[in-house]
Amino acid sequence: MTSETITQEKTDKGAGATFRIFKLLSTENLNYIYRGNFTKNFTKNIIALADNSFKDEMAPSDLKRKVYHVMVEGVQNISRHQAKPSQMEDVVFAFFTIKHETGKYFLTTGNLVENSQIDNLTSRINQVNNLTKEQLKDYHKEVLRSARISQQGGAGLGLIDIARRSGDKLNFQFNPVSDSLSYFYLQTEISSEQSNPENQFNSNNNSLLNIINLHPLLNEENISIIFCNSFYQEHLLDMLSFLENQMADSNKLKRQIFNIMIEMFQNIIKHAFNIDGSTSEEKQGIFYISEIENKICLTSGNYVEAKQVSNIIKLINNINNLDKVELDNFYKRQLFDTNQTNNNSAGLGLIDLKIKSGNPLIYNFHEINYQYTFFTLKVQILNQE
Amino acid sequence: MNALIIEAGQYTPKVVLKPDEQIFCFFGNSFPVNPTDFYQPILDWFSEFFKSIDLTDELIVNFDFDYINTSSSKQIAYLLMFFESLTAKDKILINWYYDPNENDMLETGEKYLGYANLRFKFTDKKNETPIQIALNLI
Repeated sequence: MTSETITQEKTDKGAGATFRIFKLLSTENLNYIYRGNFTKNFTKNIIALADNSFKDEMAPSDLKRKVYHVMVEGVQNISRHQAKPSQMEDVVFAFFTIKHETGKYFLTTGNLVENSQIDNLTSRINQVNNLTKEQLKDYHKEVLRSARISQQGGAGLGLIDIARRSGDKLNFQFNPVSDSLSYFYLQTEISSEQSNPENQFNSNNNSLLNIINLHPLLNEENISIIFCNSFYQEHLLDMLSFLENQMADSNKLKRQIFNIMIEMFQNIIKHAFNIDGSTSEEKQGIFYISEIENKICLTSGNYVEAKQVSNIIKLINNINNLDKVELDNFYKRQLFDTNQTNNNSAGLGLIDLKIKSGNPLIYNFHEINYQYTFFTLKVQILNQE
Repeated sequence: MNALIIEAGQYTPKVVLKPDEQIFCFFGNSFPVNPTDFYQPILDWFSEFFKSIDLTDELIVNFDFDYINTSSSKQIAYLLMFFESLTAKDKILINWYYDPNENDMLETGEKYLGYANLRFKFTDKKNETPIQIALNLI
């Protein structure tokens, strides 16, 4: 991979990671990942976002209802049961992702648990996985009746409920983090057809492994949210309303992030190429928000034509070399330049990103073939709060 | 000349152009992906309008945006350039609203001021009756 990466002077180690993350998400068909603290408020938000993401799907409503319930249950399980290590801020984050295939959804959660819980969780999941549909129904009733609600609020019931709605075996794995903690990954498949549990066992193990492999990358980059593929104006609004509710930052910082995000998101909608040849209005690409030290980073990645690369590099280097006054003048000249067609407004967008962020633009090009190159753009905002 | 009224969309501003009442206003957000589709009919409308009248009194065009993306800002630049090209351009006053807590719109307005040879007034939203109420547009 390194041999084919053209690394420009203004890059950082994260730029190469963008393409790796993009490839993994694309392979797994994941539209977004959220990584962070799973609070009650978050549960509400992630559900609203996921709701939006499949409101336009042609999926039958009973499937949607099942997905919805498993999602609520899964996310609430995390918020109730996640271990909260006080000394390990960097590993506290849980994550949630949803994958969609025709007629099927895969929900995957990852969160920290104490090692002492592993045996108990493993035996409970195995127990649930070994029951037939009818047995599961009876077991559900039995647990409800006995009301053996655990102190945190009833994980037993949660797992049974997820298994019942899924109709499939639950896939899971534990990865040790420290002497006392492990990551607990749980993947649930939900399909519209009545599936036969006997031959579905472990069918999606690769999918779970791929997602687990993604996790260290997310941690390394300290990514809080990723949006991948299906770039479309409607989805921008969904993301904005999700972030609006989710971000605890001040209005000023939030607004700065939003303004930059809209430009980057729309750059993908307008200028990205779909290399799978699809002429769909939904563009391939990736956008994510991460935080490094006191900087909030907004990163976009998308395919561009190889022949555009030298012009983009020239333009960004030019923009990076201008001081504030020169930049303003350059912006005004571009704004009132009538020779430019509207399609050509990417230049203006890039100048705007530098002005709004107040920091140099970081970029990377990863050559795909003679025709296309993957262009990563990182915009950094100083978090002064 | 008929009025042109466009209700606010998810990505587009509300536009009220009522010559009989001397009301010319834009307000809200503007971030459509293809702003030309939205702004061209507005430009056409103004073009027809200025052909139909002989401007003798001051004409105030109010811009009260919360957010505009760069491609919309380009369309607004085109609109201002059109005003600039009119012989009666000195009769036109661009009333640009801004929120003093957020610099974006003030900065955008100042960029236009620096380039377009038109009369500008900057209005602090905090000290003014909101434009929609002042003009009875709600």
